[in-house]
Amino acid sequence: MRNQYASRYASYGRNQNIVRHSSRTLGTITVSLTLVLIVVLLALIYVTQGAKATGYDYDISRVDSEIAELQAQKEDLAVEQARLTSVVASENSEVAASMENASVAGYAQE
Amino acid sequence: MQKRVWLFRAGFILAMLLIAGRLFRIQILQHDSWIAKAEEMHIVQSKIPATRGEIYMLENDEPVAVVLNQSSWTVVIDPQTANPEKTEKIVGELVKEQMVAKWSDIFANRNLRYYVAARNVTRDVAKKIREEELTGVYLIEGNSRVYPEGETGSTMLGFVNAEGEGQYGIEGALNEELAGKDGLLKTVTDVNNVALSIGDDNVRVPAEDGKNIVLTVDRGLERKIENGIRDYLKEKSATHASALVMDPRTGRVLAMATVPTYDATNYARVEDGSVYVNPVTEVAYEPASICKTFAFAAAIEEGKMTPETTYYNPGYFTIDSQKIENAYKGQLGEITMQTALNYSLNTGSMTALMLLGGSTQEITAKARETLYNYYYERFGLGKYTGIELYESPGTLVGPHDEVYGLNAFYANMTFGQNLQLSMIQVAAAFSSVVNGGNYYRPTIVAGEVTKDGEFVRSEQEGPVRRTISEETSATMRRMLYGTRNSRRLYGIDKTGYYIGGKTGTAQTIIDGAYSFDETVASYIGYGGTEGELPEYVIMVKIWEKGQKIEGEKDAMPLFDKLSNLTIDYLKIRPKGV
Repeated sequence: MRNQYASRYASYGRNQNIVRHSSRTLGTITVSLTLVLIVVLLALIYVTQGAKATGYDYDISRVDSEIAELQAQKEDLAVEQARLTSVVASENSEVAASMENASVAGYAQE
Repeated sequence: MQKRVWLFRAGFILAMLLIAGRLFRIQILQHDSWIAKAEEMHIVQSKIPATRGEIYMLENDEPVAVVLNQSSWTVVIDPQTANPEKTEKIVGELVKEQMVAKWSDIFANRNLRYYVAARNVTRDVAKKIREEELTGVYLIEGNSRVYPEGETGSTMLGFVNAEGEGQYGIEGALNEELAGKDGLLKTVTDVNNVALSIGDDNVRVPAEDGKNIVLTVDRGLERKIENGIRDYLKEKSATHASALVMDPRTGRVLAMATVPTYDATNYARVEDGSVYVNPVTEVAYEPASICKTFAFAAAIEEGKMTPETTYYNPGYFTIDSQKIENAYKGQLGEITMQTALNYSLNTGSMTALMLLGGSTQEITAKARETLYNYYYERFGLGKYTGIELYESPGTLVGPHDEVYGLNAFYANMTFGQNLQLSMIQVAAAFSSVVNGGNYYRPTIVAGEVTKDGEFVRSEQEGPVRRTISEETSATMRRMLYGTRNSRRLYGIDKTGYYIGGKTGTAQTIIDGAYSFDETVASYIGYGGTEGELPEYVIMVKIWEKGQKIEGEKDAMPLFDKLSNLTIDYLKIRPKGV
């Protein structure tokens, strides 16, 4: 017995860098909870990102609708402009009605 | 106790096995089927409609829109749930002009669930209807064509039917270019039907919008020509007339007008469907004595005659046992070819044909071959011109076709009978006769307007071929000028301008024989500053069922009117100014 202790102390004596560790491991419940926590965290991140993307999709949809609406208004304005500047509109205008027909076109002699 | 635990465990395992089995069946064996069902529920696949191209005419050489697109709504009534009195009172008042059905018909059968009450309803009106929140009244958004110039050029432009397909005119002939190509949208949607960006199967193929086509037609001139015809017809018994104005130096169509016109927005309300057909390009007819121009040009080009060449005019020739007479009974005896053209004598054009074969007594095979070569190969008569519109090729009998009385056929062809030609064919050929001898493909497309609003012009094509020499062309201009001015019974040309032309009065075939009881009148002429090449060619045609309409009396005065109008509109200056 003495020799046994003697050899152990002797080895400490030979290598001063050797340290003694006591084993500290996580329990089963802790590991399970940690895993669940990580999964929940990841799921939350996924849901958050998904919701964020869906939010963008709603924005895109709204902007698309606005573009379509503005495009339609532009079309309406183009049509209105074409109507107002049409030959038919000019012919039927009050100004045209008050004008007289020109029967002779005169040209300046050079 | 142990037994109960064992039974519980066994039951649990069995249940698990059943669930696993069911999952295996759903997820593995029926995988594709369930995926398809799921996609059907949350994946939306829809067409991205291409915007139909707009149509422009020119004004001061800049494009102006004459056919545009506009969102419009169709009002649909559910007769089973809608309140007849309230619906009629509110909706009827708002869409009075756009109604396509009678209210009594809409509510005649209350078992129906879908009745189209009005079409082409504007945005503002649709909004008002929506605000009323009427039960059984639905609004369906769509797109419709808008014509700010009203009925102007309707026969040339055509229309778009309820299925969105172009019909007749430019809309029909250039439907593919105007329609564009629809795109595709395939996307996952949520409960609100909003497209989501998640998912691997999202597809978005953008639509290719149709081309915005610019026509060579001048908007102001088109309207003036159309109004000119309309005013002229008020004084006549005829109700149908067409006019074509071309630039003989390029083959570009400046105006293509036909009366009566129709409202393309309400094309379905037209009672006589023949108004859809463009008589300028789609109808082949016998243009009559106008064709003498081509027979004379051929004979002069071949060196067989000059305007001063003389022949004996007996008033008729007998060919293949058929007596072919002049319409005008005077000028008998020895006369010049110029006189023959002035009085539009059939014996003159038949003599030109005989001369083509080297004879003055008979129509030889060589004469037929030469005339056919000029008509078909050089002047392009009896075949497609290549204009960007629906065309009739017409008909032309070949020089060796097995036809009874082939020589008589050819004799008739010299004065525009026994052949079928379209106005565009005749005008393109005539342009080459007066422009120095160059045949240009007639065209009505000037280019396109890009999405950025830039006007990109089509490349100007050169002449397709030479029909006659410059010398012959100059001689023909003089002959046509002489003809017009020797017969100015009704026409009045402005001084300083050089205007020539030729009449045509075609008999129609009634009960298998030519009849003078119903005739079609035509006139074709050129004009421009004296001493210069012509700047315009105008061809007019007037017709009416059961009416005798004459080239000189009826068609020439219309040409006079349109010619003067064109000179003013195009600001063509007289000689010396």
